[in-house]
This record gives sequence, C-alpha cells and structure tokens, in this order.
Amino acid sequence: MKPRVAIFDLTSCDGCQVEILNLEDHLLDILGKIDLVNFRIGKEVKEPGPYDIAIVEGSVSKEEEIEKIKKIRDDSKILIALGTCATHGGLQSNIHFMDENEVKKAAYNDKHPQQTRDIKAEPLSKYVKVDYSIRGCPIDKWDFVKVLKQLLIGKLPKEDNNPVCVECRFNENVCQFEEKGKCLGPMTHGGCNAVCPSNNQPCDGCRGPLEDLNLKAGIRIMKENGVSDEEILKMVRKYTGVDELYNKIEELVKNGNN
Amino acid sequence: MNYRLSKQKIGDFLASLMNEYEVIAPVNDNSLIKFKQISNTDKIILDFGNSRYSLKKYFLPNKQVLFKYTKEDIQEELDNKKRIIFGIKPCDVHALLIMDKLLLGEDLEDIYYKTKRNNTIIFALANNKPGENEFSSSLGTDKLERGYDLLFFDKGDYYIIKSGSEKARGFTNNLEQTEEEPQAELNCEKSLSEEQISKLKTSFDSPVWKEESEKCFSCAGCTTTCPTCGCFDVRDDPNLDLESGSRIRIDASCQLKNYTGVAGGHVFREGRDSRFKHRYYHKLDYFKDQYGKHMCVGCGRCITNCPAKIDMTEIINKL
Ligand code: SF4
Ligand code: SF4
Ligand code: SF4
Ligand code: SF4
Ligand code: SF4
Repeated sequence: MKPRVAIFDLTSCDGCQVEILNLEDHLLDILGKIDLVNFRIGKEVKEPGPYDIAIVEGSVSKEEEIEKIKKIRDDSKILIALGTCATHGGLQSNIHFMDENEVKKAAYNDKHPQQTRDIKAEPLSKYVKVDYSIRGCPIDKWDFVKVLKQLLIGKLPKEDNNPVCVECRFNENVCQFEEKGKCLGPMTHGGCNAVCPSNNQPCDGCRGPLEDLNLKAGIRIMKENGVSDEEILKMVRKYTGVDELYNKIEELVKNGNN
Repeated sequence: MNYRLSKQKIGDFLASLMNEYEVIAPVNDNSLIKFKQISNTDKIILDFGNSRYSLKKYFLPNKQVLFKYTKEDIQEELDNKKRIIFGIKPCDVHALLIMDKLLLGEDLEDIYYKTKRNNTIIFALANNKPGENEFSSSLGTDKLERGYDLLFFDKGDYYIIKSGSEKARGFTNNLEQTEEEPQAELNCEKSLSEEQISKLKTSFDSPVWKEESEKCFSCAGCTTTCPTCGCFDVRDDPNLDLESGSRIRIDASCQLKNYTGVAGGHVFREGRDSRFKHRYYHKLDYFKDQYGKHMCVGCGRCITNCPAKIDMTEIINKL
C-alpha cells in the first residue's frame, strides 16, 4: 500500500509548495511512490483523513487555523512542518516585535476590511506536536525529496545540525563577516547549500537557530564590526525571532559587551 | 642538475600539458586566491602568499560518491583524472604528506584518496612570501625535501626548477639545464615555538580552553579549510526507487556537536570547550605522539578563516 500523503497550507505565500512543484520530472517519480490525496496548488481532488503523512506549510495566524492544525494532527500519523512559516512563524512572525495596531492599520483599510480573527503568527509546534521540520524560506526542494525518501523507507529523518558555514566553506565563499561584518550562518541550521553567502549576502537565519549556537559570541563580533543593535535585532527577527533560543536576544544586544 | 625556465614561458609550458592533464593553478576568484582548473594560462597568479582554501578538495573532496549500488551490483567511483597542480606551497605539500600517513597507511589504504593522489602531479612553488597568518617557518614546513614532482623557485624573471621524482622526467626533457642551486627564505610574522607547543602536555586543565572557547562559534571554519583535517562521515543516499543509490562521504568536524554523537544519542564532547580544545591537541600533540610530526603545517588558514578571529598561535602562546 502506498502511503497516503496530504499537503496543507495555513498562512503562507505558497512558495514552499511551489518548490515542490518545481521538482517537475522528479515529482512524477515521487507520485509513483505515494498516494497524494491533498495538494491545493497541484491537484483538484481533496480526500478526508486519516493520512499517513501530513505536510503543512504556513504559520498559524488566525483563530480558525488553530482548529485546522489540530484536526490535521488528529488525522495524521506523521506531521511535517514545511518551511519557515510552519517551523518558526516566518516573516509574518515579526508582528511579535511590532505594534499590533499599526500592523493592522497598514494591512486593512476600507477597501480591504478585516475578515479573519487574526492572532500573532506562530509556528505549528506552538499548538501541535511536529514530527519533523523541513526548514527554510523557501525550503530546498532536494531537502524535501531527501526527507520523503527517509519516510518512505520507514525512518524519521535525522537532522544534520550543521551550521550554514559548513556548506559555505565547501563553496569556497568569501565570508560575510569579512565582507559586511555580519552573518547568522554560524548560528543557523544549514542544508540550504549556503545560498545567501554564496550570492554575497549574509545569512538571515531563515532555517532557524542551532541548539548549539553561541549567541553571545555572535553579538559581540557583529558589534565589534560596527553592526548596530537595531540591525542585529532586525536580522535575528526577520524570520525566526520567535524561536526560544533567541529569547534573550534583546537583553544580550543591549548589554553591550556582555 | 636543475632546470631553468623564463617566467614568460610558464604559461606556454603549462598550456602544453593541457592535452593530457587537467591543470590546476592559483587564480583570483571573487578577490580570493583559489586553486582552480584553468584553460587560460593568463589567469594564473604567480606571486601570492597562499590560497584561501586548501587543496584537499583534489584529494579528499568535501563531498564524494564512493560507490553506486543497486540490488545486484556495486560500482566504485574512482577518479582517474590526470591532474597537474601548479603553485602548491611547501606547507601544503607537507599537508599532503601528513594525509598520506592517515590514508595510505600500510594496514589501511584509502583507495579513493590513493587513486587521486597517484594521478596528480605536484608542481610546487618554493616559498618566498608567507600566506596570510602563515607560521610554517616555526614548524619547518616552509621548505621541501620531498613530496614534489617539480619544485619551482621564483628568481624574478625566471624559475629554477628542481626535479623530485621519476615521473618528473617527462616534463623536463625540453627544459634548459642549469647548475644554479636555488634557495628560498621565508619570513613569517607569526611564530609558534616548539617549547611553547610542548606546554600542551601540561595544559589539559588550563582555564584558557574554557575562556577562549567562549568566543568560538563551533562553525567548523577552521577544520573545513585546514589542509590536514580529514575527518569525514559516510552516508547512504538512496534513489527514489529505494533499491539503488549512492554511498557518499562528506566532511565532518570535531568542532560540531554531532561529530562525537553515537548511537543512542550520547555525545562524547558535548561542551564547546572540549571540542575547541580537541583541535589544538589533535593538531599539535596527539598526532606527533603517534606519527612523529605535527599535524599542523602552519598554513594559517584556520586563523584567516575564523569569523571569530581566533588565532591558534595566540592561544598556544597563552598557555
Ligand atoms: S559567510 Fe556566513 S555562513 Fe559563510 S562562513 Fe562566513 S559566517 Fe559562515
Ligand atoms: S543562507 Fe541563511 S537565510 Fe539564506 S537560505 Fe540559508 S539559512 Fe536561509
Ligand atoms: S573557525 Fe573559529 S569560530 Fe569557527 S569553530 Fe573554528 S575556532 Fe571556532
Ligand atoms: S591547524 Fe591551522 S595552521 Fe595548522 S595546518 Fe590546519 S589550518 Fe593550517
Ligand atoms: S582537528 Fe578535528 S576535524 Fe581536524 S582532523 Fe582533528 S579531529 Fe578531525
């Protein structure tokens, strides 16, 4: 029996699902191995649960999505968070660090009145147990294939827990600490082939902080390199600021030389 | 008997070998000196300290397919490409000799490494200009007695070339002979004395490790760019049919927490300080006890490539 796989989305840009579609020919091979019963942007049919594997893109950003994710969890043996919105709340999680009323004023007006009961964007794990996270904004499509292959042979994949720097060095890049004095690569989960520093941009940490991160060192070095407190906070909060590993960031940044 | 080649002709000399060999040489890439395959000899950088990244990618690539498997069959992926690397500095040749000790041991021979090693011709370049943060003159790895096929000495507008192997004969046939005995002197700003290094023997519990490791990201920049770090991990990458696939090996690093992880979830060197300390001991203590020479060749790359600006020589000099 082929496993029943369903792909769902909550609040997101669909970018990670598009990455899956970008697999093109490989997608056909994958479809030969699974029974894809729900994939809004790729397929018309929708089938009810139970599912063997549910893959969920997007953050929980509306009250109705809390119920939706709980139902998906109940219906599924394995639940995979797909992309930064699902793993960390994503770009929209910036609302945690902003004035909520101002954000609402900017988002809604007479032409676009508010129709949903918004809550602050949260990762899936805030409400349900997540079995595995496919990281990144957007995800790396080969990461998706790798995870799926592991699931198909009946294993829950294991994360590398390597920082972005490892692949960055494989690519023989100029280090962004030399170039721009800042980079979240040493503190961030790799697996993206260091795509940002390989294109001469510091890593903004979209794949989330490593458990082993040395935040104090990171802040100290960036400050020494003349990066302002605001800039450091902005970088860290761009995608994954709600991660509890960043809980003390404000304190640490403000404390000067900690 | 040595040979002489005018500097102007070095391009033609290397170009004439390109039919038979892939020629690798230092070039400027995105403002870093890197070793790359060249097709145009105009691009070669002749006057340089050292490359930012090491040459180990030509011998022990950071990611390499070892073999492909199907249900019935295993197909080994040996790289038989014939290469010439021009411009290797003495410390990096010493690094290869160290790798040989690890991977070409009598009882343990790494066939993937050996194949690449045997198919690669070494045109070394005697050192007269240290690489960034290089301290090879402290360790005696700034000079070469062996390990090269040809050794080039830069004499301004010409090279004196020493031949160092049987294989080298094929390359020197058409070169002008000379009696001139070349020398190269290297003055490194950084230094690290044997006396200081020997303090490692009594410094295992020094507070320096904890203090200094607090600055460290555990990012592996030092080990991935070190020419003598050869630690790797081996994994299977199944194809979608789930029956065939590849076995790959990929760089690992003692600086990363997962490196000492074992089945069951235990991590031997959990703390950043113990991982941090391990690199110093492996490079400058354990290896010498086992093989009679340091594993570090003083190339300086771990210093240059550390985003936290941690300097090996400073740390050892603090002990
Ligand atoms: S650019 Fe960033 S990711 Fe790359 S090595 Fe430097 S710190 Fe690490
Ligand atoms: S380099 Fe950093 S920001 Fe860029 S994709 Fe990778 S983890 Fe995300
Ligand atoms: S490169 Fe520097 S910061 Fe990174 S692991 Fe090595 S010593 Fe630590
Ligand atoms: S430890 Fe540092 S200086 Fe020594 S060989 Fe490795 S990179 Fe070069
Ligand atoms: S320093 Fe670490 S990564 Fe390098 S060879 Fe030794 S154990 Fe391996």
